[in-house]
Amino acid sequence: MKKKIHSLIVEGILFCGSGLGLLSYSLVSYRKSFNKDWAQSPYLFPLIVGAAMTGLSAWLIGEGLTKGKNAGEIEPPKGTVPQAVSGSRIGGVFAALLLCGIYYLALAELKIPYITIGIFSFLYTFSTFEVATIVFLAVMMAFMGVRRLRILLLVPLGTTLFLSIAFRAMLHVLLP
Amino acid sequence: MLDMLSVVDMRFILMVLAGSVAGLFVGAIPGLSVSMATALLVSVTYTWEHSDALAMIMGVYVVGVFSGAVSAILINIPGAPSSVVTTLDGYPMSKKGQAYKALYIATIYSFTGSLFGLLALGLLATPVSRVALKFTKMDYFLLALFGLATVGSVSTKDYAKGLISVMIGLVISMVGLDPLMGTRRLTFGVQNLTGGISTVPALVGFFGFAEVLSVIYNRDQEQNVLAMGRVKVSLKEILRHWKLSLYTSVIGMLVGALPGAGGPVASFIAYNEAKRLVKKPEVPFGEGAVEGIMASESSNNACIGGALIPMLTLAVPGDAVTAIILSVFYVHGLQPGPMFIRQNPEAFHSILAAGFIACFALLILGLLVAPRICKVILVPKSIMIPVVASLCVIGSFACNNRLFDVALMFLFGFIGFLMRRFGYPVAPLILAMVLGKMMDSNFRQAVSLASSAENPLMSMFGHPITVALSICTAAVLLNNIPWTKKWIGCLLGKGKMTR
Amino acid sequence: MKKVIAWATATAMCFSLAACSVSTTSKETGTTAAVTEASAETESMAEEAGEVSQEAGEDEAKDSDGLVATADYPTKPLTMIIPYGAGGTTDTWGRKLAVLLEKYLGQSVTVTNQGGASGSIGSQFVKEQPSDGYTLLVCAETMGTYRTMNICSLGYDDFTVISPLVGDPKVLVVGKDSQYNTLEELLEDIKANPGKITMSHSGPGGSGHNQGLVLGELGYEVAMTSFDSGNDALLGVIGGQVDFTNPNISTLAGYIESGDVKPLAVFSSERMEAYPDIPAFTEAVPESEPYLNIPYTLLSFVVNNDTPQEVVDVLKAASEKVFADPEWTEFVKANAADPVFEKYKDDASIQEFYDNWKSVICWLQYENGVAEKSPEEFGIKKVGE
Repeated sequence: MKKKIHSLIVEGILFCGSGLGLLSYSLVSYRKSFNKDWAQSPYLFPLIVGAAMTGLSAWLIGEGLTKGKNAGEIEPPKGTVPQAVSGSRIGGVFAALLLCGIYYLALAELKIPYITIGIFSFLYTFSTFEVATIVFLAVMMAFMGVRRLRILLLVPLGTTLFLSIAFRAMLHVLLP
Repeated sequence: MLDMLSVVDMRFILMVLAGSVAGLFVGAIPGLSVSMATALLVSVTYTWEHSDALAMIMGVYVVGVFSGAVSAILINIPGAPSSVVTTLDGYPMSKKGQAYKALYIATIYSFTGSLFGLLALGLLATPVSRVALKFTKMDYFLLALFGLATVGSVSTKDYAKGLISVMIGLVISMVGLDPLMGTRRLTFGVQNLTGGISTVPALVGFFGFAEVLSVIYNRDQEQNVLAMGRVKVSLKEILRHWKLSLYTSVIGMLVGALPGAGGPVASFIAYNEAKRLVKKPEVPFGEGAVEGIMASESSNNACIGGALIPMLTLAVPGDAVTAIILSVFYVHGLQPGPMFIRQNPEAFHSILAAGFIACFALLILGLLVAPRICKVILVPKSIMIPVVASLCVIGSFACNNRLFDVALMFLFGFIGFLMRRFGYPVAPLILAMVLGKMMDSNFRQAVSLASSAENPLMSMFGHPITVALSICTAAVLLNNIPWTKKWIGCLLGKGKMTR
Repeated sequence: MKKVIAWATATAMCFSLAACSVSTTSKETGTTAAVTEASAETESMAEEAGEVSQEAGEDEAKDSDGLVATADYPTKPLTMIIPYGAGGTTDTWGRKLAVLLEKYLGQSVTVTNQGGASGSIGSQFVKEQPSDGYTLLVCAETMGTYRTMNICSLGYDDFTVISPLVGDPKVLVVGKDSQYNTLEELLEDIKANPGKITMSHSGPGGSGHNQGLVLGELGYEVAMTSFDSGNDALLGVIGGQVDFTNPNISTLAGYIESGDVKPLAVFSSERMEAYPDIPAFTEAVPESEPYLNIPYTLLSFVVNNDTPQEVVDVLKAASEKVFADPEWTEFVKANAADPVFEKYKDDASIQEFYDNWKSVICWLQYENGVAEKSPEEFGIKKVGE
């Protein structure tokens, strides 16, 4: 139970920090800026938002405190995700993020050639996106627990083909 | 209004239909936005006759706004900011295996909403534009604030968390060059941030990628595919809500006619109103209420007609798509403005006729596609999720052709995931992000205008519309803050109060 | 195999076209900045481009002196960057110029809008392109003030001016229900209530703002507020939130016709041909003459300054032909524009014109605390010194 109260207060402090950060950012920038008319200053709005955020964080903290004081036994509201953090599940999230990160790097790093070399490099980039996507999809599916080889092969191929035809050929959207 | 039949011929209808099919496709794929598609069309159609170009663009516009709901309902990624509200009830419905019903409702009410908006455009364009002119800078700011205040209350039980989410959205909207002076704000020297953060990566990240992460996080408990009963939906049951639909369409049309606010605000306000008016929905709001989808879809489609009004009569675009349509006019040498409808009736009629044809195309396409496309949710999560992830990547890349946006999308996805875990709603964040720039510039202009007046406060808040909007905003705010709610409760007990 | 190569060439063509794609930006979302929706054109575009050049080729065969193109320039489609959103004054004129240039250059000219930050983003983009004359820029008067306003490091001398285009006359207007009926009434009231009469303008450092500063220099203090665009500023007046504004005649024309506004004076030393009833500002305030002999909204057609001279010559010759084209002259007339292009033909007079313009405007802004840096830092001398 303590955990729940703790979380609200921690969130409140976090947002309070960001609110104050924004406040000081706008004040400092305003001081440095050339335009000294508050009404038209670009930092007026950030200032207000920062102030509002700080106020709201006080509300959050207050809520956390009152909940802690008078409702020690009340269960946390149902709809929220269960509190117990199991290491493997959050690990899964990070693994997925890592996968995406590798995918991103693959797209980013292999993108460079097409600017320098002419037609063939275009074909090359073409294959980069497709290969990266097929591998990404297959690995991701395996990660999600698909074990049937046929699906692991066909679905990524089909999806990638569809995507590249739809985006590149029909809509002429540049792909990474 | 019947003059518009003169521009219709077979070719014209085909143009609209082609546009509609493209719109369905573009709107339903997360990351491809209607404004992007119209921008593309402008470059293709600039050598065409303007009636053909307008026909196609209207097709894309009307159907594209609707089909944003398709992905919102099926995979919880709204196709555009105006479909954000549809996810609130649409996705829960499809989780329960009622995707078909949700799509069916979205289709019918998008149709009626668009029809209403276009009728208003045809009949009331001039008077509505006069009303829009009466809105001062402060009113636009307050309208946006009102929208944001309702947002906090519609999407979560904890109002403070909703408002925090709004604040985060506003901060995100501030990144980049400020809208009035062009000063760099919050860019911290990162060149890629100078242009600001566009909506698409945020939308795709906060909804799509966050969903991917959540599913991975919860996959132990996730029971795969729900049996999807072929729910019979009777027309009578659907049309039961016609009064509410009409009301939300009016909201949509009026908000749409106010430049800058547009579909997202309209659908949030409509949703809030639906929640207020329908006291006992069969299913609670937020868990798959039919009324929620209905309010959102009829209002955001009614916005189309509304947004065209200021574009045609005042040359002020109501949203991103009308801004592009405006450029079509200029390319073809037409000058929208107060004399436009009188001087160029054929262009006006092309828009109207194309809009109406597109409405029917929407109805037919929606009814044809809905039963087929809703099978998507039968695909096991383990296959669906990787595909969604790669869609997120492409979608966020395609909007600006920058890999930087993909990185942003991943970041937003992770933040979105954390926000969900700790019970912060994402929808308010998106709305705040979309509205941030407009609120910022309008607020500063209002302050600046007032600062020279004899009585600054009076000049800022003295107008009747401003007073009404301030009261509404204050009411929504006070009604949701726990301790002020008690006072209001006391007041209500003793004296009279409208609500 | 042949098929593969053909296909590869076709796709490569699409890619090259991607560079000259249309990016459309919107004020509403504010993402105007770097939104280069470089959505590549479809193949049909490529075909069109091909057609145009083919047609042009035929023209050449028939009427060889109609074209000014030399053997080596231009050999491929050109891109024209408009550093403002679609629909504004710059956009309207840029697009007109592009259409006519196409006719005389024999290559298609694709117009791309890259708005944001007073036009500096689009200008910066052009500056970063190769100086081969394939990327053209139509810029507005803000180009002269980027440095002193500390917006970016660009100035007119980073570009070679092919020609100044037109000035869009600015008209002082009040709403139709306004208490003011003549310029004299308005000016008297401004004198009586300094800093109380409100004026909306299109943005800091822009032409509307400069005009407000000129009023200040003349002793008429007004309260200025920056709006989103010239049109927005005008709507503020029509909606009765602001006392007066000073839009360009091109945005204003429809509203004069519909009777929503009362034009009080044209902000120039001469009346306009198309609207002979609107008095010139100097008629009421003769001492304003020195400020009013320059165009406030000035469009210029420029390319990067290290572009080869032959290319510049081709463009100059082409624009000469454009200016003589009846379609252009009629457009100028219909829009009541100030034909600046007629007055400055040779390099020396163009240089002098821009130097004079810069010194008047930059010093005006600096002395009124609008510009951040002194014009002296950039070698801009004050008029009369």
